[in-house]
Amino acid sequence: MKSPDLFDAEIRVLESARQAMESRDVEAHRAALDGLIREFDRVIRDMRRLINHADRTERELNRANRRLTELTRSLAYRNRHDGLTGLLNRETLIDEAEALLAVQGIALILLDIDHFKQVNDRYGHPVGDRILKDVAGAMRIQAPENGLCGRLGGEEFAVILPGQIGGKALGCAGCIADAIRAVRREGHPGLRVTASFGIAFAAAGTSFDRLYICADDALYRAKHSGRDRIEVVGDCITQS
Amino acid sequence: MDHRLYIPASSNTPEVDFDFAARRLSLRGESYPESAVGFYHEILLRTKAFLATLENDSVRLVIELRYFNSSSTKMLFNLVDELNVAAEAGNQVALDWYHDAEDDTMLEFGQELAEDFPEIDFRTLAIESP
Repeated sequence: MKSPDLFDAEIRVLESARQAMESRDVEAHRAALDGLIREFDRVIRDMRRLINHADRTERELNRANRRLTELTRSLAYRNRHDGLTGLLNRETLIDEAEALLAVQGIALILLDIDHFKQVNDRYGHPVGDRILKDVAGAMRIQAPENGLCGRLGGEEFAVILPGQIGGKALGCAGCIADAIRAVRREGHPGLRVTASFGIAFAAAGTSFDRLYICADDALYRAKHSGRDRIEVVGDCITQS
Repeated sequence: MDHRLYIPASSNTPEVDFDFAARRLSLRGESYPESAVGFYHEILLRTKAFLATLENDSVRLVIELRYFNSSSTKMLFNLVDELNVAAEAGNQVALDWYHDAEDDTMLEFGQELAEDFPEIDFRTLAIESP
């Protein structure tokens, strides 16, 4: 038996019209034509509905696709950035630093807001969050265009400067320190913010961990020698 | 007379519950079979045979499909055509077209069918999603 076809009904009508045309009977011709006209009419209506439905489905699919693209883009962004400050997050900053270190030397500026716990305790966490955003803003404005700014966690931030540019890193940290000192919060006239800085430089091929430990040592010294200051590891760190 | 045709739903075919004895035919679920013709051929044949036995009778078709592909659409048209033949022959034919309240695409599909088949007592019914 012939397997059924999507257009069985239409094929049958065509077949009977063909048979009728082979006969000499005028009535048969008329009946076949009549059947064809009715069938054609029905096919047009079916097709119109089908195409309308396909168009609507396609539109919906396109909308869903666009939403998905936007969502993917926003997820990719969120995956790389710190939600509060908009700076690069820890993982991304470290990845970027390691990628740079594979081919060139870099400077790492670590900075930690002084007495941040007291800011939160005294003024509340919403004010503390504003301060974190202000510090991020100061970093973004003061860092050079090719600098990478990130939040490592809590009140700890970092700037990575490609190239072993000692003087430039110190200058950049100084500008950020000044901008942080200038932070004011409306309604809290007594609020002053400072940060401590540790800077270290590494040659190409050095691991980020090694550089981070050195910059963190410098930061520790800045904290323990009175805060609101910049400590620098003068020698360029190498892997060996 | 054929009493009932029941096919449980699968991942790509709807539940078919054509209770001919009760004059109530229902299609529920999603329809995108490997071969729409293969799936609907038997259903259409038996429905056509059942409808041919009706005389001053009434029958209700309930369609509650969330999705159907193009070849299933063609088969649905054939099914509605058969019902239309029964309606033109003097039977009372009702079609309940269920669609998700949010799904305008399905609603508009039902409305277009209703326009093309004035002999059929058409209702579009929204299902509120939970």
